[in-house]
Amino acid sequence: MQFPDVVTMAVPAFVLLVLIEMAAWRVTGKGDYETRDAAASLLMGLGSQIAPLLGGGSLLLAVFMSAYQFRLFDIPNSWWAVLICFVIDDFRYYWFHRISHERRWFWASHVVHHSSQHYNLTTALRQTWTGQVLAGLLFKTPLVLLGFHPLMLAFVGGVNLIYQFWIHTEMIDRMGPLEWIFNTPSHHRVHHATNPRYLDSNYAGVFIIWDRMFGTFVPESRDEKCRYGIVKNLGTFNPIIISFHEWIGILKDLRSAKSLREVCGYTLGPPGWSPDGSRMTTQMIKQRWARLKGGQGETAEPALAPAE
Amino acid sequence: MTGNTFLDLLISLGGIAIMVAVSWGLGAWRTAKVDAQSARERLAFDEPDFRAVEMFVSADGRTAAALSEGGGEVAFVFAAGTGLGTRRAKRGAAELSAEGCDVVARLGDITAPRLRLKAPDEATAARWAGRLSGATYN
Repeated sequence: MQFPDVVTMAVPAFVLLVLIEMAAWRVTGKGDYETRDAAASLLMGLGSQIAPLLGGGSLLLAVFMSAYQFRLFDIPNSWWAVLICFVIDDFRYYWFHRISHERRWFWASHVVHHSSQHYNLTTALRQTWTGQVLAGLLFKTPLVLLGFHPLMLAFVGGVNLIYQFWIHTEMIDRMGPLEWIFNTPSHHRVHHATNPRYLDSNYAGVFIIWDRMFGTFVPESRDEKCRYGIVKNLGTFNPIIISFHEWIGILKDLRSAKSLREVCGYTLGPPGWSPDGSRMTTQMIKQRWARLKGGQGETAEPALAPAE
Repeated sequence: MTGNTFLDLLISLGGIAIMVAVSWGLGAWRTAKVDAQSARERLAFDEPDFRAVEMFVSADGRTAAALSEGGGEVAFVFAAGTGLGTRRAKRGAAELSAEGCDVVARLGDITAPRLRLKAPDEATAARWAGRLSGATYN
């Protein structure tokens, strides 16, 4: 059984669909585009395709092929094995993705994907240049050891990535019963939103059932429009800064760390962790939101004196 | 696509150029206007416990600075494309100076631009630079 490079094959479709979405934005007013933001996303996407060519891709393949020699089961390269592999890999993706939000070391790579304040098809292509090797080693090696061929894993991973492309849009509202089983534009909008009630939810790749099973599912509310980006939005479209800013933040923090506890907190703690609690983790943001909402009503907006 | 990595990358670059050009042609190169209302609204979302009592909005509509109740903190709101970003700091933590009619803020944060707030005159710029930095309060 041959496993084609589906991501490369899909590139022309990506381009076509982005152009269609841009035109639809102009005609209908739904969604939003900003040229510099889109350019940054697209360059991040290109960089993420180049990064594995620098050696990481070959290293991963070598490790996977070696690990495959020690597999527990001989799983054939058949269509039913591909289906099972797809579902198990999606389960693997859920946990990898969840950890990418909950632990700063992994967030430093994944933050790139969330750094746009827009939510359109180019946002799907805003991918990390870093962290792919460690993530692959930690999260995919077990599947290889189970007996899935590395090329089959690469194939189902590619299909998963392509699935996740089209859900990055504001053009599609809700999708009826499909919302129960599959990750949809609505579910994934929530995932990209920085509204406190939406933070750290809907980690699914293809099947939203993982979020429903593990308590991380949050539906999109008609009453609260998603506001995209990160809790400290970037003031730059420079791909180098977009790619490395959180890594630089980690390095700066490590230089000031005074104990092993602080080293662990700055690297493996949740994003926003600080020894004195002066920064905000997701949990703290949600607690603040709940406190202010309880005290001041739904909007949680403070009273402001007139500006000068 | 072609099986040749270098050629594939060139084709991808061409695709990017087309998408960026179309986006520009459709009028998507825009910058948000920062005024008192948009700055307050963004601050209320990003920093809901920051109680801004006074605000200085740059004349070019790119940036705003706010002083908190009690004067212990400052917050900045800046345009990033059509979006807005905010940064909050203890008063005195940001490096502020008056340069002619501008107040320049360096936040020591690579993800935030160097902020330049345009005042109507040099005296206003100097006054706000002092107030935001904590050198003066009135």
